[in-house]
Parts: sequence; C-alpha cells; structure tokens
Amino acid sequence: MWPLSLKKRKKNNHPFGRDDPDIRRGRPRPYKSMQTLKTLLSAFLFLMGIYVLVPHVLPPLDDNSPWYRKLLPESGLSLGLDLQGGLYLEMDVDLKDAFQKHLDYLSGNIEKNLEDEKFAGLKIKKEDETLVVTLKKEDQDKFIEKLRTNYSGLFQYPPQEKTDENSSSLVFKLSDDYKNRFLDTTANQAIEAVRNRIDKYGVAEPSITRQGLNRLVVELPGLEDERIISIIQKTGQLEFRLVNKKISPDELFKKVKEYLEKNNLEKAVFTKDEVDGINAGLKATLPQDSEIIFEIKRDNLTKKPLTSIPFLVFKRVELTGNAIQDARVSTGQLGEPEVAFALDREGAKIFADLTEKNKGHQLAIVLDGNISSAPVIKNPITDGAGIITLGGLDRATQLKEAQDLVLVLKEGALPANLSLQAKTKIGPSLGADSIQKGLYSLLFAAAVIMVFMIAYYRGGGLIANLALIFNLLLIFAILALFKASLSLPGFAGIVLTMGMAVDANIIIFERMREEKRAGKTAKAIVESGYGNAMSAIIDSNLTTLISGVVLYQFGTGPIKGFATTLIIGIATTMFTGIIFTRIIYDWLIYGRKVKSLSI
Amino acid sequence: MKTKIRFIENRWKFAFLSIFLMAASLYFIFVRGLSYGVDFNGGVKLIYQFEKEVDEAGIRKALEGGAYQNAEVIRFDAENKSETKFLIKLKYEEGAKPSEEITSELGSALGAENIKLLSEEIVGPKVGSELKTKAIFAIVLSSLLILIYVGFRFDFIFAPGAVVALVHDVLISVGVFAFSGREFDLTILAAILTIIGYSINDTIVIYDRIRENIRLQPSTTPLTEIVNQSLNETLSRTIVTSLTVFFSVVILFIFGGDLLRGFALCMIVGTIAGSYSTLFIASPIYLFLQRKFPTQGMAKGKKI
Repeated sequence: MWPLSLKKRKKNNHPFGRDDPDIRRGRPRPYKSMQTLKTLLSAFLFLMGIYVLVPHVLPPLDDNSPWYRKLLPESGLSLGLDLQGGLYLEMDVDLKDAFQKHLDYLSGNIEKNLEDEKFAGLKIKKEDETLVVTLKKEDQDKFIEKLRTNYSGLFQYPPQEKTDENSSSLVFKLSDDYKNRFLDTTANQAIEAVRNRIDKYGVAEPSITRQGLNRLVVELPGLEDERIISIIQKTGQLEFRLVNKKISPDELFKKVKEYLEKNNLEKAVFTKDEVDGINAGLKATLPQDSEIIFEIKRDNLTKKPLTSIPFLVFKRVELTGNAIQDARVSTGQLGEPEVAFALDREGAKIFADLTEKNKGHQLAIVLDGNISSAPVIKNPITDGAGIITLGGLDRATQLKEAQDLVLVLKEGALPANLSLQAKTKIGPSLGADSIQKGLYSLLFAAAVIMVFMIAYYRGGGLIANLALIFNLLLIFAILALFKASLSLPGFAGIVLTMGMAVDANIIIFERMREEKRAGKTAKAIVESGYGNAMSAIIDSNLTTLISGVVLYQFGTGPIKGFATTLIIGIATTMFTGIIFTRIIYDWLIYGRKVKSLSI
Repeated sequence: MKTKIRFIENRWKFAFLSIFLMAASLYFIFVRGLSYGVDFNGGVKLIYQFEKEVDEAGIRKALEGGAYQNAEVIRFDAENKSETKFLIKLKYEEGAKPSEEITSELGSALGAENIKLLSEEIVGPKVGSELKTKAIFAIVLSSLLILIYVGFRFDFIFAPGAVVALVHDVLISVGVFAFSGREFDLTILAAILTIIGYSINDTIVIYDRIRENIRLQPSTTPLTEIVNQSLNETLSRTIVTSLTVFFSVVILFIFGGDLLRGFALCMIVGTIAGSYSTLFIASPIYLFLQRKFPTQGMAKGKKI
C-alpha cells in the first residue's frame, strides 16, 4: 500500500526543474491522490473531446433540434479552402494613394475652415507629402497658431520656410505619429468595409485578416462566383467636384489627344495609373488646382466603351459618398437600370449651397476615378437627391452593377484602392478528393504505426496505441474547439505528429527495456523509465514547437493549418504520451500489482 | 541489444560522405537551380479535368495559336486512372484572365462539356518575392532560436554540433529536392521547417544521454568512450523513431496525392538525414569542440 512506497523514495529529493538533476528524478509521491487527479483529468478531457466531436455526426443545430441535440455545441471543425473549395484572395491596400488623397482633402478643409479668419490670398496646396501654404508674411504667425489649435497633433512645428521669387510660403510636414495613425486606421477601415460588403453579399464563414501594414487576406469558403472580387475592389468612391472652365473642352481634348498620340496611349479606357501618367505628363499646361478625369462614352446599343472624354476638374472635393444616406436601384428614361441616391441633412445643405453658388457650372459626379456624368447646374438642388448612370454591356449586367453599386454606396466607400496580389479558386471536387487522400493517409499511417508498436513493444505497444488514439481524439477536439480549419497540409501535420508522438513513448520504453535488462522491479522500471526520459522528451518537443510557431507566424492559408496541427499535436502528445500512459502503468503496478512488465 | 559500434573512431569516413553529399547538394541547388513554384515566382496554375481521354500533345494542340501556347502542361493526379486531370502553368500577367481564355480554347478543341476547371491559382510577383524573403527569415530565425535553446539547456559546446547537423539536414534535403527537379513551393518550406524541428529533436535525445552519462560515469572514463556509449545506448531508440516517422511520410508519399508528394519526398530525405546527422555529425563535432575548449562546458576537466 502507499505508505510503503513513501519509504522507498527517500533519497530522491531532487526537484524537477531548471537545474539538471542528477540521476533519478521523481519525488515522494502519494500514489493515490495523484493517480486520482490524473485519471479525473484524463476522463474530463476524454469526455470534453467526445462532447465537442459528436456534433459532427449529428444533424446541425437549429431551432427544431431535439433537446438532446441542444445540449451539444455546433460542430466546430471546419474544412479549409483547399478541402472545401472556395476563394482565397490577397489584396494590398494602396495606403500611399489614400494618404495623398487625404492631403488633398486636408488642404481644402483647412482653407474652408479658416475662411472666417480672412487670411488674404491664402492658398494651400499639396506637394509630395507636405502642404505648402502661401499667405501674407504678417499673417503667418496667426495662421500657425490657428493651425495649432484647430488641427492639433497633425503637423510638425516649426514649418519650413520656402521663399521663391515673389512670395514666401510655409511648408508643413505631417507629424509621423499622425501619419502612422492615419495609415493604420485606413487599413482597418478597409478591412471593415470589405467585411461589410462580404457580409451583405452573403458568404458562410468568411475570414478577413490583416497581414502586416497593408495586406488583406480574404478567405471565402464555398464560393465560386468571382463577382465578389469586383464588389470588394469597387472603391465606391463617389466625389462631387466642379468642372474647371479655364480650358475650353475643345482645347483640352486637343491637348490630351496630342499627348496620347505622342505616347502611344490611344485607347478607349484608361487605368488609374495611366490617368495619373497623363496628368503628370501634362502638368505644366494644367492649372495647379485641377486635374484631368475621363468620362467613358459607350455605344448606345452594345454599351462597349468607345472612347474616353477628358474633363478638367478641380482637385477639391466638395462632397463625398459619405454624405449619401440612401441608395437604390431605379430605372432611367430608356428603362436602363440606374442608381438613385439621397444625401443626409448636412450633405443636402452643402449640396444646396454648392448648386446655388455655381449656377451654370458643370458638376462632375466622379465614381471610382471616372466621371459618371457632368450635368450643368441649372437650379439649386435643395432636396439632396441625384442619379448615377452606369455603363454595363447589357441590361442584366447593368442591373447587377446597379445592385452592386447600391451595396457599395450603402456600406460605405473603401478608404483606399485594393489591388489583387494573389487569388486561388478551388472547386469542391478537388477539395473532396483531397479530404479522401488526407483521411486515407491518416488511417493507414495510424494502422501501420499501431501494428509496429505492438509487434516491437508488445504490452507497452498496446498502451502506446491507446495513447495514440486518445491523442488523435484530442487533436481533433481542440481543432473543433478553436474552430480551426483543417487543410490538406493539416492532415499531413497530424500524420507527422503521430509518428513523432510515439517517439515520446519510444524514449520511455527503450529506457524501460534497459532497466528491465538490469533486472529492476516493475515499479523501478516504470519510475526510472519515465523519470529519465522526461528531460529528453520535453527538450525535443519544445524545439519542434519553436519551428512550429515560426511556421505559424509567417505562413498563410493551408500552411498555417499545418503549423496549427503541429503545435496542437505537441501539446496533446505530451499529455497522452506521458501523463496518460503513466496512469495506465501506475494502475498496473499499484492497482493490479503486476510484477513483470511486457515491454 | 547492447551494441558497441565505434562511432567516433570512424567519424572521418562519415564526415567525408557528408561533405560529399553537402557539396553535391550545393551544386544542385545553385548550379542546376531550384525549380521555384508559383508561390515564389508568381504565375498562374490551372488544374483541369477532362471527361474524355486526352494526352499532353492533345492539350498543346488545343492551345496552339493562342496566347498561351507555350504553357507548361503536366499530368496531374496520375494514379487516379478513372479521371484525366492536367496542370497548366503560365507566367503572371497583370490584368489578364488566362483561365477564361484557356477554358474557351480547350472547349472549342475538345468540346466545352468535356472541360472542367477544378482550381485556379494566380500569384502576383509581389507576393512571390515577399515569400522568398519571409522563407529565408523563417529558416534562419528557427535555427537561431533553437541554437539558443540548446545553448541554455546544455551548454554552448554542445550547440554548434546541433546547428551543423541542422544545416547538414536542410542542405541535403533541399539538394535532393533540387536533384529531383520537383517544384519548390510553400509546402516544401513547411517540410524544411519541420525537418529542422525533427533533426534537433533527435540530436537532443543523444545530447541528453551524453549529459547523463558524463555525470554517471566515473571521471576517469574518457569522453570519447562516453559519447560512443551514449550513441550505442540510444541507437535502438533512434532507429525505431526514425522508422515510425519514416512510415508516416512514406504513407503520405503514396497516398497523399500530387499536392503532398513534394512535401513527403522532402520529409523522407530529411528523416533519414536527421538520424544520420545525429549519429555521425553532431557528436563528433561536440567532441572536437570540447577538445578545443577543455576547461569549458559540462565535461570540463574530463579526459578526452
């Protein structure tokens, strides 16, 4: 009985810890209470595993489920994209561009806010990543003070002074802190906007994560229609700007045409980069406060883009899509789908103001960098309502476009452009194939290992096999608990874990065999077998853990799944391989009083 | 079984073999070059399933005259006799939609109802080059962390041997991979990191035994003897564990399908190399270093 075993262990009082203990490890151990504790823990984990895994063979949880089904949770195990099929996207948020746009916005905003101060000749324009402020020298100090109070934390002080021929201006650089916060917030806003759109589109269990400064990783399981990609990428940036009449439309058209011919850029539609290039190329001939934006003219019947007409538009944004309160699909004069929008109260006020002050001017409605329409302002619009026309190829596409645009306008514009860097689309049949392969490998590997263990370690092998089965149960249970998704490399990770899990047992068994050869008793064999093997097992598993964690940190998608199963596998292996098998051995020794071990 | 293999005495034979293998690996990696997959180079990978029998020539013919006639066409999932699948690899083109065009080209040549696009993977060059950097960083970081860990758990005379064994294993695994001409993609990287963990695993078990024997054995026993003894004592464990891991990865190689085959191959080589390096590389290097620094480390003052 247990007091007897206490007497035996007197000399082994070494603490198990950081200092390397000498030969024997182990300490006075009241068998009964530890054993009970360990057995309870194992039983608890086993039951928890069953609790979490059984739902996977039962019908899903819903309102009509019987009472016993309601006791169990929803199935947590989900299949990764490579097993289920779906879309995987990696997109970059164009933060640089967003920052430039923000500077444009700031310049207009500051000018407007400080209107009352009546700084004569105040002009603010953006240059690279600074704002250049031109105003009378006497006003400079007052201006800086006003800036400090109204826009605290934005700029670095003191500003640089720039003097050229006629005037002196102040160059303000934005504070690093503000810039970093802006970039971070913008990236987060982009994620939220993408998340909202995906939610509205209706995808089961999407996953949107941020990687690094400006990379978004989007996983859309079960989805095959790539329309979602254009919905996500649609910046939905709606801007109301005034057309600059300084250069007549004909003159502008000629200038642009010349430039295009010279640079071999004659096409019907231009990309954003190409438009930027055109603006940079013609910078000298254009007024500083305006830029060229194109309107795409389409064939009335086929709706194919015919040509792009340049407009000279003020850079200053009068109103953005943020002011849109509501949007819906409506029909135009010829029955084509359009989007009707309504502005919120403040937006409607600004709009009314704008249209009153600028009668006779053209108001450009800029959608995603292109002019949607540029009607002439005839009367002030006081009800804050308007129409956006679309250009699809046919009624059906136009309708889809209208619906998508409504979604985008209502959910909010993307704060920045998203460029697609990587895309993977996996069909469900390939996924099903992979599942089959994964499962076969798993079962076959388990079988081979178990047969080998019994053949080589006999009774010990049987115990190790029980531990292996428990191990597999725990791995799947933990995956289900954390709702982690299983991938094909994840299966590989489990197969590998099995191979390495038996390693812990092998180390112990080999040690036990040595002790048995030395003629020790069953008790001593178990004692020293486990005791001596502990440090080797822990050290070796910890190092595997290190590489698993590194892999997890930088891997994406299926590889992350591999790292996950590897890491979980190490934890479960430590438990089942060491503690669980020890319980069985202790029970054999102390409970069943086995005298000789089959190992 | 009590073996008495003279590991240390024969270490130069093994060292030569290792050096030869490492040199060969370097040759294959840098001169022949690794065949980087779409993950690292950017590009497009399309997997099609065909309802009627078709071979590589037939597909090439269908793509002839189109923009993608120089694409790589490889048989996919060959062991599945009932289904015909092919993998088509292309270069990355900004803004292009290769899958649409290829699907229609194949469709017009072989009948649209016979073609099914199973999966499509497009990786831009930015992601690819980022991954290359991340990969190197991950390998170096893992190795460094492990080296520090070994240094603290044992001592810094033990650590270099472990690292050399590690480098040896990774080098040979990648070298064999380069030799095989298989595509080096993200899963192979995962295999390398796993091999790093596994190789150290093995090495630590030996070191643990050496450490124990240093304490156990009378101080007159030369270190060489202790190391030899430790290696022999743990030999059966080393072999058996290698066997179980080896079984696992061989099964993955056979049953895992084309997507895991490269991974499994790399692991198979890594497993063998791991055990080999543990026995024949890590310990001799430890001995060599201890000889150089007789007053440092755990075995200080011991007769070599």
